[in-house]
Amino acid sequence: MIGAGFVKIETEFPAFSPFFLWRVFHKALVLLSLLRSCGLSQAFKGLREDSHIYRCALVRMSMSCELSGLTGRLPACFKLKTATEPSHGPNSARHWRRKFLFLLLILVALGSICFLSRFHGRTSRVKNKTPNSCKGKAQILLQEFNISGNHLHALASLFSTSDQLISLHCTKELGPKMLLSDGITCALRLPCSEVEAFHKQHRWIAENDEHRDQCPVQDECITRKVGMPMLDDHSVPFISPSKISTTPANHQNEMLSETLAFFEKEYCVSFCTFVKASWLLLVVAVSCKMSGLLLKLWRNQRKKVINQPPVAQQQQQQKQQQQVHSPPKAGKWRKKLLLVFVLLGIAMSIWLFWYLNEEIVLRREETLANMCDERARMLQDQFNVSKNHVQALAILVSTFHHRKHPSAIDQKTFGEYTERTAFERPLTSGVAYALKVLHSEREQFENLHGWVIKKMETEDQTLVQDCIPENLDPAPVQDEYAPVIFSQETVSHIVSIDMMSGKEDRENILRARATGKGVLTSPFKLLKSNHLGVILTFAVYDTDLPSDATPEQRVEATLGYMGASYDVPSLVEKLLHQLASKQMILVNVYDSTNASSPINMYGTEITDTGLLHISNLDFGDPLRKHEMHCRFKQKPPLPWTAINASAGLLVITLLVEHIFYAAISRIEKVEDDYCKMEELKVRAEAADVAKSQFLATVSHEIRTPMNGVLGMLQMLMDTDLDANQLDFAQTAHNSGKDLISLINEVLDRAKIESGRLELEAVPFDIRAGLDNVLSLLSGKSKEKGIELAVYVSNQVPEVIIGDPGRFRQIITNLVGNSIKFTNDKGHIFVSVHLADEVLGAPNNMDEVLRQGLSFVQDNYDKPCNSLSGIPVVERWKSWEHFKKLSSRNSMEEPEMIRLLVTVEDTGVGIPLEAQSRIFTPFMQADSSTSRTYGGTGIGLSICKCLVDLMGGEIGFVSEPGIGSTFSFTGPFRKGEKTSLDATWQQYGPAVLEFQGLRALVIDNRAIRAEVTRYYLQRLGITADIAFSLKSACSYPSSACNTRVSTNLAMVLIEKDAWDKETALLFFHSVKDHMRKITKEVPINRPKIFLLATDISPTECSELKSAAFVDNVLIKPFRLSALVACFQEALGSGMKRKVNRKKASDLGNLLREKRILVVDDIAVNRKVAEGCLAKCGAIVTCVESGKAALAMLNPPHNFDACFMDLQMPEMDGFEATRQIRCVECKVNEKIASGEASIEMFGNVAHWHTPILAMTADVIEASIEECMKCGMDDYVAKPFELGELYSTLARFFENG
Amino acid sequence: MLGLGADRLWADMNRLLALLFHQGVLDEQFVQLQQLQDESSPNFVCEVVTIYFHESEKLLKNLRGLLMEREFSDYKKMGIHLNQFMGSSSSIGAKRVRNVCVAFRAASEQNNRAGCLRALELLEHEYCYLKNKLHELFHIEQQRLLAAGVRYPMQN
Repeated sequence: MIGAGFVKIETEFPAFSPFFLWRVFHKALVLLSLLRSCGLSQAFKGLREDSHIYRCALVRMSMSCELSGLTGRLPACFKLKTATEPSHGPNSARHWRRKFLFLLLILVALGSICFLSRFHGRTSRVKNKTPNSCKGKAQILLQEFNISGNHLHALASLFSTSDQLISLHCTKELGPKMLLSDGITCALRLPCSEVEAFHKQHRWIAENDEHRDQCPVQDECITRKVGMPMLDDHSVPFISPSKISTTPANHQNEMLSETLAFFEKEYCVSFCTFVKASWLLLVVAVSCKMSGLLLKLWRNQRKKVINQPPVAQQQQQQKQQQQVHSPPKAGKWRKKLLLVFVLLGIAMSIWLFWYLNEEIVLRREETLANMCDERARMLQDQFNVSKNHVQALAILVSTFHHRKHPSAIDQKTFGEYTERTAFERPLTSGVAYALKVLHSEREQFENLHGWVIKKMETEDQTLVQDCIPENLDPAPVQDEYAPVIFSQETVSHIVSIDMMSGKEDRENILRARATGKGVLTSPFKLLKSNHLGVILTFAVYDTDLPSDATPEQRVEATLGYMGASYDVPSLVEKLLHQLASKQMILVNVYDSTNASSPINMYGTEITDTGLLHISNLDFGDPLRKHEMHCRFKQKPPLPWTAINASAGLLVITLLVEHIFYAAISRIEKVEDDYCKMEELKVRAEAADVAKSQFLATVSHEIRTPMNGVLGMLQMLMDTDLDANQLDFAQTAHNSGKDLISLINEVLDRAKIESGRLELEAVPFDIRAGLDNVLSLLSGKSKEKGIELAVYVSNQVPEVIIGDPGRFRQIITNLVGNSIKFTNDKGHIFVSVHLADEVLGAPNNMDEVLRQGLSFVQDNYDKPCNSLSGIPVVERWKSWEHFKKLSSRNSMEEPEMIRLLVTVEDTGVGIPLEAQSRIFTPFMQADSSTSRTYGGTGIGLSICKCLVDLMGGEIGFVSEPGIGSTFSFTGPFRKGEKTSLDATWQQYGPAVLEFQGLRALVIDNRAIRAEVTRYYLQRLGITADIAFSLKSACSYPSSACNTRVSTNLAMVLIEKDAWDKETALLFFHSVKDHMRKITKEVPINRPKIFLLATDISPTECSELKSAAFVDNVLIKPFRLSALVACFQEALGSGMKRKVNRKKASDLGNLLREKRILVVDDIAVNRKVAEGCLAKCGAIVTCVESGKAALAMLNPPHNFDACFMDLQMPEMDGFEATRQIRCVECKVNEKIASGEASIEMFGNVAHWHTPILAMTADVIEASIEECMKCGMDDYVAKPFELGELYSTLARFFENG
Repeated sequence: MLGLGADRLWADMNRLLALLFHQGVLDEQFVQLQQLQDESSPNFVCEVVTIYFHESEKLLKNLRGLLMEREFSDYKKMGIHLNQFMGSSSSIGAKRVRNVCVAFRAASEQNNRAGCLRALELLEHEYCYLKNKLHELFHIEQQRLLAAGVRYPMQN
């Protein structure tokens, strides 16, 4: 558009204008090239389009910069946050969840181990032990009993078969058996002792022998009750089983308790292992946790180290390097530890497996040994019982056959008896009795029996099976024979066969008769049954031999031989049948008399299943040795318990390891990320700073050519242009001005961001400052018809110390903003209070604050009591979030005050959704292209920056459609009133002049009246308030009695409250009143002023001419305007004297002081001279350093020297250095007495204060000033206040 | 606005000053300068400004001379001149002149001759403008003094 404008202008300009036009164009080009060189194509394009878009482009540019800065910073911030609070929020929740899971895992593992061990223990023990021990024992008991029962039965049958009742001997001989039954009856009563008795079976037999002696006594009893035993015999078997059944039950109970105890013991053992294992796990877990904790601690420490604010960037970098180096180290260390832990875990699980397996194997062996021994013992017992039977038979034969004449036994009797008692010897396949027959007796014997002694045909006995004895050959002639005379029916075929003819039998017979005990053959195939068997042989003697009889005696006494064949396989089979769990175990019985080649008597082929247990069997024949070999049928099952437990441990270890590994790698990753982020953050920050610096530079560079553009445009406008041209130029100028102000704002912000903005602390008058700001902005507000007012609480000190420029900037921004968004009606009200006031009780608040706070509460009752009567937002909300408002904290010095400034408007308000980003730079409530309000949106962000910089807070409250209120606080120091009077001085006399006067303010709005009163109070005028003209009418009369009315000098009437009729009424009342008073004292009529925001000149003059009012006061007030107006109206004629107290102060300080000013620039010299001369100093000016050196060569009479720093030839630094040098020498001379004091003007120590005058107040140059001996500095354009305070330090004490 | 009656000259002067301030031609320092003026030195501002003009013109001439030299190389000297110019400008509060000087100096520090020339042009322009306006101001003030015979103190 500008371009187009230019073209247009060119066509229509008068002759001289091309020059200016060219200049403008040239400037614009400069600007463009500058922008292009910055690479801001957007901005470039924007400027080409038109200046408005150009502005937008710049905004966009800076916005993008800003945004990039923001995004650069954001992740860093975020990162920092997450790093600093690892134990909060969802993160911590996850952490806990993980912990919980870990705990759960351990619990499950422990539980499973526990369950496994218990289950295994219970099942295996129950399986193995219960049948083995309990049932087995019960069966043994039962069997034993049956045997003895059978004995009785057998005896009974004997009695029944043999008709002979002369059984004294028999009973005598059967004593032991009877005693057994006696024992049974005993046992019925005392089962326990019986059980014991059964356990000691061997001893029992021995005891039986002893009991023989007692037999005769019993014999008599029995003979007497011959019939009775029969009955008894019958009853006993009936009673006993039932009793027995109870006994085993008892016994079983005992057994059960025993097994239970055993289980308990086993359980204890397994529980112990379980406890051990769980402890181990617990220890592992705890150690893991501990290590985790340690890690965490260590990390925290490091984090702390990291988080420490960097002192310098170098240090930070160093730290970063450390960070970069340390994590891998730590990670390695951690991983090593983890590896060790894993190895340990694996070793542990292997050990556990080994341990458990060992235990299982041991238990298995034990079980096998138990079972084997038990079987062996039972076999032995059974065998012995049978043996006893056979022996009993032998005794029977000797008794009834040999001692009876004639013999009581024949083949038939024997066969029958043995057949009927066969059940007693279940293991024998048959019994036979052979008689000892010497060769000499052979024929007699043969004749007696009617058959010849036959010879065993072959050695092979299996063939004998189907042989008939009659077919056998008669036995050859021998010394003696042993023909069988009695035999059991089953073996009746061997009757008449000579036993001596068989090799095995012969040996057996010889051995038996020599020893007198039962003798066994080696196993051989039995007749008929074809089973392996052994023959047991007992010798029958004719007399009772002593136990120590020699073999010869025994041979001599031998009458015959009782033989029984045992079927070993069936014996063992039967036995094993009686025992449970036979299917588990494999039994072999060997005859190991010949140790090198044992003969297998029972059992199948040997399959090696690992474990073997050998138990010795004693069958009562010392020459023969038997062994029982036991094996498990199956190979040992896999030790599942051990496998499970160890696998569980391994799994747990690996799981834990995995978790830790994951954690460690996560930690590493996070640390890496942290380092990266840190680096990025540093880079982002650097970029941010660079961006800010760039902005500052660019803004500055843009500003310079823009000044040219504007200047040229201004000049162009001053030339003779027609309306159209002027409009164009005006537009261009306005655009340029907007651009400049924008650039200034950007520059400000950039400065603040790059940290180059420093706040000064100088005393200033806040009220005057606010007046200035408002008068600056009053133009704009008047255009819009907005009422503008300021109020400062009287608790705020007159002079405060702070940065007036920045304070003003904030206010200007806020008020400017408010003006921008307020349309046509309403007000903008700036109020300043102490923060403490707001917090205090409502009673202590001043009127404005109270009303400001209170009208909110009763705003339904009456129309709004705001400045313009338009509703406003509740302003206290804008500071309710301030933190520092209330804290009169430790830094509390009595000097410090905290100001609360609120700017209230009745504008459009900020949309709710935009309120959160209102302080974000370049963000506007409405940033769309079609927005109503222009502007960059940087103002508020600058305000926030500045307030933050001051250490205050800013906040706002806004309601769309009602308005907004911005508040900010800022700390300031109380200033002394005297330290700043320069501006105040102008009004000094005027204030004195108005002191004590009284005024009446008529205003229908309380706050507005308060504002007016505030101004009047500043002038020392006491003001009363009336809310309407009517109520004011009564004021003079009501005040009549008091002296007050006499002082009533002026009446200020708000235009809103003005109406002609009432005004007339009021004037009359005033006049009447005055008339009354003037009778006493001549006094001036109170002056009437009309207060108006906006009034047309005609109206004004009309009012004036009607003599209603003396003058019209335009709001917003300015104190100076008020003073002038009042002075004029009151006509006191007092002219303000030019009397500056401040100057006189400075004058007193500097009066008659001789000051040397050194500056090469004439203007500066002149200004400095003027400035100092005004203060009464005697000023000498020189224009070079050399001249100054000459002037300040002691002795001289200068009291101080102002030295410019930048001078040709010799600059200020050098000059000062030389001056100090000279002074030093002189001082030395005086000190050493080389020169008298008089020589140097009676001054013992020369040190002329030298103050640098410098245009750039940069720290570096200031430092250099101090280095070369200067005492202080003043910023170059002199300012009286500063000059005063600086000089005061040198002259106050001097 | 001030309600001091129809003191047109006074208003004119104020308007002019306000304009100058608004345009950024002058700054606070000028007010300071004005404050230094009192009965003892009634023409203080005028004197100072006259000296300033005198000196500035000399400096401008020097600068132009330096820049117009064919083998121009003495940036250092130019820098000194510019420093002086800057110093004196800031002393009287000629803000815009001073700003241009800053730019000029930056250009000279970079040995940017074209930039220097441009800046010189700008400087001359600014200087002219300032001179014109200040002359106008003094003119009005003289008239005002003559007309009123009274001198109102400056306001802040």
